[in-house]
Amino acid sequence: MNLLKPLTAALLLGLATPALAAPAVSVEFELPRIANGEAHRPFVAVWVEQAGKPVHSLALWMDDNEWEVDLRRWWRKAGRYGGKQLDAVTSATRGAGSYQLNWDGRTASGQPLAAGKYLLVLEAVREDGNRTLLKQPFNLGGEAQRFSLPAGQEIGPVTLIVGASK
Amino acid sequence: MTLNTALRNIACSAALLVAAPLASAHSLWILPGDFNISGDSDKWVTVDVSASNTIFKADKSIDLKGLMVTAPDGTTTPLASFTEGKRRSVFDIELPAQGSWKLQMQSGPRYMTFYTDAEGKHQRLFMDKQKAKAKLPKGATEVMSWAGHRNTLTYITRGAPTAEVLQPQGKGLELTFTTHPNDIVAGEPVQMTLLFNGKPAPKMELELTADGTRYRDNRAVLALHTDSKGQFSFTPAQAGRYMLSADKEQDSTNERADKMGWSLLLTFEAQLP
Repeated sequence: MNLLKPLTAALLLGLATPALAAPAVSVEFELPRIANGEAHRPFVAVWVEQAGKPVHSLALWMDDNEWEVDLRRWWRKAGRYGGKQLDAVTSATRGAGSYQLNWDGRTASGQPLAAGKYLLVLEAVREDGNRTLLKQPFNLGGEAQRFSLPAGQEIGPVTLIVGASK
Repeated sequence: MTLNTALRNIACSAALLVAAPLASAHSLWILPGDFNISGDSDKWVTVDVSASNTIFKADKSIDLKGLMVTAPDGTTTPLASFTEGKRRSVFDIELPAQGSWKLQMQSGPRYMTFYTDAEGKHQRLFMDKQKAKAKLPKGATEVMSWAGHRNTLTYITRGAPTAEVLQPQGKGLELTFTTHPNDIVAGEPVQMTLLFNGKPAPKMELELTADGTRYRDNRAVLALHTDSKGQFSFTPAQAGRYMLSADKEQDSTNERADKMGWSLLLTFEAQLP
């Protein structure tokens, strides 16, 4: 289950999916307001890797697949291998604001990911703008964790909250 | 500079050879505008081809009649059309199928005969040893006939990379890839194998040159060496475009040449991590 809601509309954080065995993961982030010129909306991808391989996609905000290649890491790791998992998370681009992605720690097919080390990756690229790649290692199946990543030019700051294993 | 390097890529256009008979080393390169493309709407890639010493600044245009296009299913066809300018040759190519494509120019044996004339000047004839015998002036010394082979190539991937176009052909200098040439990333190790006539080429040297040699004082050519299995590895420090080249020469017992030479030149991009 992938829930995407503006932060202002969702205060689900503390009570997210208590019935699930897998830990709840929440990713909050900003898309910054671009001050100068005619700012295009950024292309954004948020996904989870394990040992360099993508294991789950949380979001892909994209207008035209011709530009998918500009999300360099996402395209190389995940996008060009396609699959229904990606279709499920693809949606239109969004403007500046606060966003929250919730994830139940399961794959697109509903399987809980094994306990272990994972990497959260956020990549944003804007036409006529910059590219920002942010990465945060975390553990599934252990203690609750909270990480704060400073903002890059096109995305962030990011707060990653991983619930304790139930 | 070895003779082989000097001769690496004597451009194949006759016009160039006449215009610059004493041109020194010019690496012939094929440089696509995109090495990786996505999507369904635009399947066209623009490609420059030129021979130059400054990487990648176009210098000498090339006749592209010999450029071959290999589709992801392995079918190979000649390039349909191109424009040859003064300093570079250009074409746009449509990649209708998903997967990895190969653009390749192979030539050889191309014969040349070098000599020193009676006045001590270095000269050359564009003919083999047999034909040159009748054309060499009296007093010619240091006569050496050469048979050169060239393999210049690059890969472009639309969508996910595929392996069919990476198959070696078993002739001259070639590469096989542990790391797909469209999956090379700055800061990550790359492994390839150099082949000669289809077999691993141990203890050979290759050169890796990053784009932009005119914007740095040090040309910064990285020397790479194959191991006993012909394998070599490197880690590109920066994202960007690179030229990987290798040369081999050996004495020949062929009646048409005293020496034979082979050159290989691959262009590729190292992507952002």
